[in-house]
Amino acid sequence: MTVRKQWMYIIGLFMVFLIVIPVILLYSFGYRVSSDFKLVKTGGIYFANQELDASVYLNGKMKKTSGIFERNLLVQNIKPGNYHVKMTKEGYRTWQKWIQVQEQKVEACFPLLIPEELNVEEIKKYLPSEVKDTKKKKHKRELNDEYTDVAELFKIADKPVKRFFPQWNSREITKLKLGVNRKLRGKVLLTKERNNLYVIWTGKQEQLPFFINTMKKKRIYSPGKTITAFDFFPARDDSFIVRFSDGSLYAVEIDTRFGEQNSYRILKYCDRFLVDGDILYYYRGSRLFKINFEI
Amino acid sequence: MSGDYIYEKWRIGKGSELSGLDYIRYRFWEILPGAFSWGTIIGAFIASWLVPVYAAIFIIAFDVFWLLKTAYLSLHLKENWKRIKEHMNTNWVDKLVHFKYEHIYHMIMLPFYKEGEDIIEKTLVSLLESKYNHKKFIIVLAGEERAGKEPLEIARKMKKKYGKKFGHFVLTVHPDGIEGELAGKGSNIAYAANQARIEVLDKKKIPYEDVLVSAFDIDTIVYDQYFPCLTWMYLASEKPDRTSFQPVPVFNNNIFEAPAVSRVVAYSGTFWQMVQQERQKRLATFSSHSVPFSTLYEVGYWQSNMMSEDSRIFWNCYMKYNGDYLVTPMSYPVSMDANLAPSFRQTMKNIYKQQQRWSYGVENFAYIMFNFSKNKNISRWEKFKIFLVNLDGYWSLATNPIIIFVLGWMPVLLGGREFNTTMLSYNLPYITRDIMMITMTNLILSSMVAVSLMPVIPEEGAKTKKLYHKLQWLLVPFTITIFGAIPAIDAQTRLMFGKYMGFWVTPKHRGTSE
Repeated sequence: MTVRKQWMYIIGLFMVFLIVIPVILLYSFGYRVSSDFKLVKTGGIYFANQELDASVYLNGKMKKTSGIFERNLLVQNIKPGNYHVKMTKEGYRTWQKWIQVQEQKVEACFPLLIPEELNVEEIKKYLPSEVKDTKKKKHKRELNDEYTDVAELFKIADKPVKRFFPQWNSREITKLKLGVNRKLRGKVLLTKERNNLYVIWTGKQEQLPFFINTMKKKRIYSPGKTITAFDFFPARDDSFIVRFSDGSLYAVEIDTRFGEQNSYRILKYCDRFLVDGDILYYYRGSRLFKINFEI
Repeated sequence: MSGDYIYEKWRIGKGSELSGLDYIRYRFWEILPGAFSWGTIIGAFIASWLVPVYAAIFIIAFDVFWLLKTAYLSLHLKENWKRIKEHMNTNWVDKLVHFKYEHIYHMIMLPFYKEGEDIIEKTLVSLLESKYNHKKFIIVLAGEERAGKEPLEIARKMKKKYGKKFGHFVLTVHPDGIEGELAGKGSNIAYAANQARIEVLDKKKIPYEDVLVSAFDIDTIVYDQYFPCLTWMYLASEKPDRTSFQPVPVFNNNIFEAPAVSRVVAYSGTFWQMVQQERQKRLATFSSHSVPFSTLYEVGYWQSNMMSEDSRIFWNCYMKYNGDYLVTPMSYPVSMDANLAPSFRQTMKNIYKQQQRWSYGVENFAYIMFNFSKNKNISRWEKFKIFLVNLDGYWSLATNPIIIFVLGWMPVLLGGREFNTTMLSYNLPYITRDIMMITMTNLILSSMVAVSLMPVIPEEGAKTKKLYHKLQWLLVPFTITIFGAIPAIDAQTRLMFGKYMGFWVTPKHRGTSE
């Protein structure tokens, strides 16, 4: 390649660089060109989401749908102001909220999508038995391992957690005294005092999640009915499940910003419940059921 | 006029050979590339933590710069690809008729260590298939005493079998443990070239300026027109004694047996050489290269006290002739072995070690800068340009993939809560991703060039294999980080701390063809 040609390329590409850089930087800072060709500052809303095919609406207008490659959704180009946002998915209850968008800022939200019809499965105490010898009237039924394992989980659930290798490393957290009134997931601690639920962020300030938004103890739930039990929502640390004295079970988001908190009844009645990983187990009488929330 | 500069006095291998102020100067230049690379990486971390907005701006600007740089290099690659095809389709024997060339000898240096008989034999056979008078070939099979008796037995067998088919066949054994030498290719071929001079050139009274020396690896297979092409370029050169000749190394010998990672790394090396062929001012000799014997003799052969003798020989000549020295790009390939070992794990290890050795070419930077401080006959502007080109080269190799593929996320991870609420923070990963996707489109050209340079794919399942050979280029982000940036930082860090590397011979292995 001739030196002249090389210089032509260098100058040409340098010109491209000079033109492209300010455009990209202004764009990434949230500047957009308005319909009257003025440079305006915009903001955005970020939806922390793991559901496929979930659609986001702003003031009733559909903006984005999640896909395999993009589950978390960032909606940009929003003028500062208040917006009614909605996340929907077929077969799921709608999640909605009013959100205030500020210029050059992104508000993060954590939609809690609950299926309209929950896939409840009963865990039988005994495995279905095949009667081989019809002459024998009595035969010993075989216990279902899953049932006994879950029953065991219920037994230990009420005891304070004592692990051989503690998951925490600070003195404050070792003092948390986890048990029926104190639940910890990651660095998010939920506590119940009287009939109120509080959240405390036990991690570093710079890692403070937006759905908590304060390093202080924050009251997040004060229902009219009496809370008899609570735990984190399966596989999430931004929402929880409460059981009331009437036996009903609700899923509630921790995020109380913007003066709104979505809450959904998921069961009419249960006697006890337990969350293990993605699964919610509950007893109704002596019968054991499970709901798998795995995405 | 060479002023007070005495080139021979400053053939330095490493800083520890000097003392006093010279030692400090040399060490400074040895430390600088590594310090610059580490400074960039650590600086990017600190900036991501303390001033994430500025770090994000830098990363976006750098991504765009990288995209445009890749486009710029791809234009060079395309140009050289055309030139290679043209040169390979040229009948250089026919072109040579315009010159008087019968007096030109080719001394072919074939250093070997413990490579197998089949590898040496294939190289010799390819030389016999070369379209040049074999009687004008001086084959120098250069063995190592430290390799033991068995390799020398193989060499003797080769000499017996092929010796008479060439004009001259010299077998040398480089003694082990010569004081001040670094055991490796440089010291071996320097010794062997001098032996060949004594045994052949002086005995037969062959003028040194009539001899072109090709320093090959033992696995270098020449295409049949290589020597006519080299001879033509030598004779057509304006200053034939002030230039080296650089072919394009392609790693085709065992390309179908090598795993995809090895192929991508090998071809990335080829592409870099192709790009450099189009930028003569930046071109230094690398791996297999050719140089006039008269020049080689004047500069004292390859340096035997350092590792990357292949590129150092260019800088030796450059300093000796006060900057009046160039590399002539041949745009003609020679074929070598891609890294391949009996196991995949060992292949990966070998690739890393080879890349580390190549990256250790950074030792030339201290040599260049130190000699610049001594040699006043080269203009300051020229020195400054070479300083920038070299520093940029070593810095880019060690840091660019890390900036692009790793540090791009740092402001988001370290920038803190305040930064993480900004549009910039949310846009950074998306913009970086999108720019990278556009940059990756350049790989389409890379895959096309690679497939065109490869030997014909065996017919059975050729379509699938062709597709596979194109898709393998998706490994590039991984290969340029793991087998580009990391070994480069490794090599620069060793040099920084004065942990000088020894020569590592890449083991040659050829499996059974697909």
